[in-house]
Amino acid sequence: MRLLERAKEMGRIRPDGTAKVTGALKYMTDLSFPDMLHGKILRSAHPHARILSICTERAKQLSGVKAVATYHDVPGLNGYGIVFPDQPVLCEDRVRCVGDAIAAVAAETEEIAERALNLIEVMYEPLPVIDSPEKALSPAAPQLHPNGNILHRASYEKGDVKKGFASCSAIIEETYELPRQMHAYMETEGGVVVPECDGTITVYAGTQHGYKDRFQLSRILDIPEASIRVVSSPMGGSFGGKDELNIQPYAALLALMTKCPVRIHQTRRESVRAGIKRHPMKITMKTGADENGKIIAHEVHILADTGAYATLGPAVLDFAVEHAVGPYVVPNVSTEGLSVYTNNGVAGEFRGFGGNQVTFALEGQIDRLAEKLQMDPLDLRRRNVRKEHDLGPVGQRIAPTNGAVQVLEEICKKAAGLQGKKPDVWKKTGTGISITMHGGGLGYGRLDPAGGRLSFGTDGKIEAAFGFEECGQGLLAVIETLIVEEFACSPEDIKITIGDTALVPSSGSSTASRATSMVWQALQRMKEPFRQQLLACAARIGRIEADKLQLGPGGIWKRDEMNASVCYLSYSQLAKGMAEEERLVVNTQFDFPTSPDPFIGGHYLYAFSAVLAQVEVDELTGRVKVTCLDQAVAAGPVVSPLGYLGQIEGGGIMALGYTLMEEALIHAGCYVTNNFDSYLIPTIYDVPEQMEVEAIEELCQDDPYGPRGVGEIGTIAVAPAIAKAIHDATGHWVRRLPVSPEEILQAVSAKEMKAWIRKK
Amino acid sequence: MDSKKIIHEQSLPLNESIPITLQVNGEEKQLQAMPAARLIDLLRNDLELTGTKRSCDIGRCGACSVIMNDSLVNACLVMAYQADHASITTIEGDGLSFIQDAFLKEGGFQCGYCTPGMIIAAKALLDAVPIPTEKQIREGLSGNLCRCTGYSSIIRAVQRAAAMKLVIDRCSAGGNV
Amino acid sequence: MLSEMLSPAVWFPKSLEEAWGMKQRLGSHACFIAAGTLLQTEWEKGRIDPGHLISLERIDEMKGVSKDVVSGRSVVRIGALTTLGSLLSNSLMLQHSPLVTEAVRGIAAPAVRSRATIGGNVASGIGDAIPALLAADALVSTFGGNTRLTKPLWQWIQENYNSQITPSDIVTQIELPESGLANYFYRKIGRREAFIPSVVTVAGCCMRKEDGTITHIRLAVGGGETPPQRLRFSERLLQGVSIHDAVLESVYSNVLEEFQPVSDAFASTYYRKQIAANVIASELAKFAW
Repeated sequence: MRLLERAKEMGRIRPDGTAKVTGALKYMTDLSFPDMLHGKILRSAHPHARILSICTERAKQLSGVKAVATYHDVPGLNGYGIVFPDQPVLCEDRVRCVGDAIAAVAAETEEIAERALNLIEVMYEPLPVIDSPEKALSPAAPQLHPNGNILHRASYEKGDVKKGFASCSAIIEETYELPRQMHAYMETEGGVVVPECDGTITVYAGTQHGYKDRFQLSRILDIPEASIRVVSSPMGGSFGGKDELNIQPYAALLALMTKCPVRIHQTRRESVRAGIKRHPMKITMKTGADENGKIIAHEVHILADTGAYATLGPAVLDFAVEHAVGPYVVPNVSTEGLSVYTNNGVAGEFRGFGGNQVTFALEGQIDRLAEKLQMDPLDLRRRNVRKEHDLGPVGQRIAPTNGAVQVLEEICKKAAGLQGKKPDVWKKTGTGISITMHGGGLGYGRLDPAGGRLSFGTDGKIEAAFGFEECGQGLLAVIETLIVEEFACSPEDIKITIGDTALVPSSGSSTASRATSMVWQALQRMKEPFRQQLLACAARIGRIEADKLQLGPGGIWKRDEMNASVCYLSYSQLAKGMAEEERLVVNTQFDFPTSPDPFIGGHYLYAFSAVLAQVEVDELTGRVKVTCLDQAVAAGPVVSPLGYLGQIEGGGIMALGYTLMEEALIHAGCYVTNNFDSYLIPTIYDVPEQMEVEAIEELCQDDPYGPRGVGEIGTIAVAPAIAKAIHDATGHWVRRLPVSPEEILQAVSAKEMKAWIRKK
Repeated sequence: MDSKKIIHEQSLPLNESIPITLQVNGEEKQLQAMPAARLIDLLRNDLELTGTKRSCDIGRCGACSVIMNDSLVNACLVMAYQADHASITTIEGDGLSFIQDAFLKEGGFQCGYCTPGMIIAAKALLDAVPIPTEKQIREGLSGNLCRCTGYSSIIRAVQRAAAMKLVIDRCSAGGNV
Repeated sequence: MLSEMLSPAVWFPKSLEEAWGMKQRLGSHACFIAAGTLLQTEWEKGRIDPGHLISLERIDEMKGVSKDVVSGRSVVRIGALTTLGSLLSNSLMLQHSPLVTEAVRGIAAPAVRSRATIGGNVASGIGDAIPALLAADALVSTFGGNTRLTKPLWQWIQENYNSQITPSDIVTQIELPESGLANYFYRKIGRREAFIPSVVTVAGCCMRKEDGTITHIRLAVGGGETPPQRLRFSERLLQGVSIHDAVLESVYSNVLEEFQPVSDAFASTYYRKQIAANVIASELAKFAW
């Protein structure tokens, strides 16, 4: 059934819905506290420079300024970064990008803080700007970090590509260029840090992993983790962009210095300047097949611009390398990736995590190869796509899955049913299909713990606590739905606790499409002990055998009296009747499932998607309008239909933006697109007339892993499908994103002279 | 003497804080503000109505949409002196429940940060065009960015709201006969 | 930026004379402001930093939309303070100049249009209403101290903006002659479907005799930072002829020559020329005989 109909049938409303549609929900940037000060951060004036001096005297003297922090004031490690802490909290002697922080001010008002920033005198000695990975790799380039300009290398080898190519009858070689995309969450980074009476601090600021922020802040502030409480949900969007620390260290430093709550809420302009972006990549692929369309060899070179600091750059590159062969079985593969430091802002984690870039290249190769072989591109895919028991893309054992075939066949059905539209005058239409697979979890060799807690409160609520975050993706709805399904209780019987290190167990990050999957797995582990203990208590209180009872809406029901008008024992009665020592708490701790085969970062659970795109190309302007964007997704059972649909629809439009309009332009290390007047994201007008989502829920027999996350999968295969549709319409292959109307227009014009009248 | 009069008769410039009177969600509010302070800050900071969201500061995202004297405006582009004596409807106001309900049922939101502005824009649209076509919905909401949903569910929500409004109006009309 | 945004003094003149006098007194630290929708974006960029704002919003003679008959031809007068949003819902406007209405509908989004004024759009020198107004033969009235001038908009634009200097005069009114039964076209091309800064904006107006001979033609283009212009040579090529292949070919090449757009990080000069020429030729092709 189409997901939309299923969602309607289910008719469930998100637990956080009412507060969101009424505006009552307080985001971290909406909070205020008595005596709260306002913080501002001074960012570097140069993309690359030596700092000769920093003078904050005039700023400190400004009336209303309460504190000015520089590197002197960082008590602990002056650095942060999820993989390794190479990014200074406050720069001392060198800046490497325009997002680098040099000082932070706390003042009575935001305006005073802003004025104070202008009074801080920083003397710079500008250094040559490394504005491309190629420049960074040249022997004469200045070294941005002690170990040079290469952040990370990753590779994968299988078979012998040289020999493989020798036996190919068709070979395609192409270089693809992918842009720097901005997350563009509607809520910019912000929050409040409150110093508490007992010397601890509470950090109210959105992040995708509260415990990880706590760890990093503890290192910077040199105070124990136990002295830091991180309240991190809800957020106004993140998409990976708030995974790394942003304003937290500055608000925390200022709060400790002033002993007052300090709020920082970055303006959009500040957010663009300091925030991480998707890695721009240049990907060269050489792909060969025999005359039957069997792909024999695939050689890949990836060059990623990671910007000035590491954050999750190494893992993004690993992911791209892993997914370079996608859902295809190829005997000879050679993939090499290089992630390079530059002075171009900072690139880091972003929904899709390197998969978007490499899939654009890979699917581009498949379509070009099909053209060269004069073969239907879907046939070519069918001949090479992985089957249920094939190994994973880096030769590792993975959970058996037939997802690739499932989505391919489903999208073929959709394509067959697509209404061919007669194009308007001066318009050409075309369609394209792409597929992809995408790993969930952090991958082999990485700490990837998950967990959760179920308890029964004295108020008679079933309390579910997880260390996951609500970025907007609908985590709360997932938790509620799963608990209602498992225990047949009603939503009112449940209390969900997330996003607060004082209250929740550690569950790992809300990244890598892992939260839904981990909530489900945690509940599988906890549900029976919880149910049994609860029923045992009810049995004791009611002096009845436990196996005559079951959980239901509002309380405990007798199995043979489910038609009764009220339950046998309400949850609140049960709670009242429980002895102190009977207080029910079930915990679980486990790791995200990984492959037994040791390829660093290699995944075990994958989700699949196929995209059908139809475009209309304007021959007069070269502009591309997407008229249809259907997706078929295979990611196991659907937990929350509206949430699933929203992830795929929303991911699809975000990817449409990536394909057609979005690029955080940097010239000589400085952003050109500083706000939403020049960095354009799709509006409601850009939404295709048709957008249908099919969810394929069937898993392989005895698959024990349940639902896979769908947070990322909807963004991956969109760009190559649109690119193929453009080719179908115009005969022009796009190899660089965002698609340039200028390039399309030249291509169309070069092919035929305009015959104005005859087109009439 | 009311503040409107003061401003009108002012021959000197306003360069210090002035009294501002706003009719916010039907309630009269008196406050002091710099003349060029922005309406968004008055709402969020002075009146603690944080449902109106701040995102781009230049009228390019719609997160701070409010209705001012029956017109949809971006609160970040309206200055205090321009809002004086205006009637303002924010997401905290009345008359929005049928739209809010439709957004809930269709899942026309995710992170919820654009949602107040989106619902206010939908309200302005439905006030002007009770049964909008899909094209009119797109035009009416074209100034409101949403990064999460991909807008499809928002279109469905506004369609549902329009249908619900029709039913509500018919019922209330029927009740009067 | 924000701090400066919040501190300017605001003046409220009630007449043009008073406003003008204030500007003379306060000099370059002051700027005129109506709704301020464009001005606020300039502040945010840190491009301007006015100490004084002279609000024009209380000057009554800059308000209102009215119809009049001047030497037998009806004209619509639009006060500069008229918001774009109110123009859209003005039935007089829709009847009188559907071309201008269509152009206004393509500017920004509803919330901006309900504040932004037609005067501000014109005074900016790059507003997207301008090409349509040029094609509609609009006149602009301005006030500059002792002089009130009314002149063709194209002339005023040419005098004021080709020098890249913002004019000091106050735009007080736009006057639109009735376009009669003319065919018109308007297209704004940007980097997404709507709510866009324009890459190229094209407007045209055309009247023909029964035999297809063009009796009246106006072509205007703008877009981005490019000051909008009339394409007078191209118009001349079309005046008095009927449209056929060769005419279109020559208009096409002529637009490429005549239109002098400014490039930016997103679109080259040549691309802008090309799409302007393409759109104009394709639109004219609809009038082919």
